Amino acid sequence: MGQRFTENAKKFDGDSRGKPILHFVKWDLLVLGLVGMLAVTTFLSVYLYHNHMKANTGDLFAVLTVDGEEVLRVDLSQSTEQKLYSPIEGNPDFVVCIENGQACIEKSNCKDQICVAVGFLSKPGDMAVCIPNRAVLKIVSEEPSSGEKPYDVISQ
Amino acid sequence: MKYKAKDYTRFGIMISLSLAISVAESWLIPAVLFPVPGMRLGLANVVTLVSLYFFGIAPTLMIVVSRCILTFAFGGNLVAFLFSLLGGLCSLAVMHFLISRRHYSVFGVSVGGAAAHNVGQILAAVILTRTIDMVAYLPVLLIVSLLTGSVIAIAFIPIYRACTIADKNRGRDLY
Repeated sequence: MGQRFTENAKKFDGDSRGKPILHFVKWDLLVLGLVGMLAVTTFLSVYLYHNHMKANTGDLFAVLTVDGEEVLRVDLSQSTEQKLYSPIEGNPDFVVCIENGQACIEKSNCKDQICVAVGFLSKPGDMAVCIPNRAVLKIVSEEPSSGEKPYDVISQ
Repeated sequence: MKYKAKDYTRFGIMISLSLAISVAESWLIPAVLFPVPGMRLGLANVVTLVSLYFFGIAPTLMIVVSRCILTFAFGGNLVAFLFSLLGGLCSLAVMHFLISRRHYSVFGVSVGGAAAHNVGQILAAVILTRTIDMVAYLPVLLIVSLLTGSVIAIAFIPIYRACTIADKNRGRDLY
């Protein structure tokens, strides 16, 4: 009984292993094609979404979210002189800078500093992400009338 | 028992190898070089490939999970742990599937694994930041994974040959 179990286990394991093919075969093109197609579709959808955001000609806001919750919202159209914010509670080293209608992560206490390297954001849809702080700084554009006028075209 | 002490030794060697390779990679190729977070060569994937071909899925799963836990233990943070774990599990699942289909070569398996690794990492980023915006990085990462996957496959070929030569007794397998 024990012997048979061992053999079954070996058989299963033997099934999952295989002798690798060490040269390019045409089946690989299927994998390459699938990966390429996934890249193209995600790129197109992101691009279209980005364009959709740009078409919005409302006021620009810089929005910082941490864990998906909004912690800072600054109207960029009213910003001229430099203003610094440290919006994350208990983390004074994370600094967001707003200047001349642009926003950037000025300083961060994370190791890789990728969020700082992104630099100034000015167009809707632009964003800087700090994974260690789980923070996303993003430029959004909002129609000033949205929310206040819940009517459709006909009733206007 | 299914595995002998000899096998467990090999699993241990695999874990320490992948750990050493991933640490050495982060030293040799600083993250600043790549503009997109999570973009790296993923040399440790060679170890995963070798152990998938030689040992099968169960020991490889153990090896990948142990590597993630050990990287976390050696001064990694929880965020990086979640990233490497999700990425590693995704790529392992895809590579196992492709290997069990038999007709894909190392190139297909490796590229599929690299791409799945990136998808897993983006998934981790989406979960962590709770915003779908992270998907914007995916196209670049996927295109790069075509390249890195091929590089890993090229690196795998001599390593696989060396392993089979070192194990003359049984030819293709290390048992």
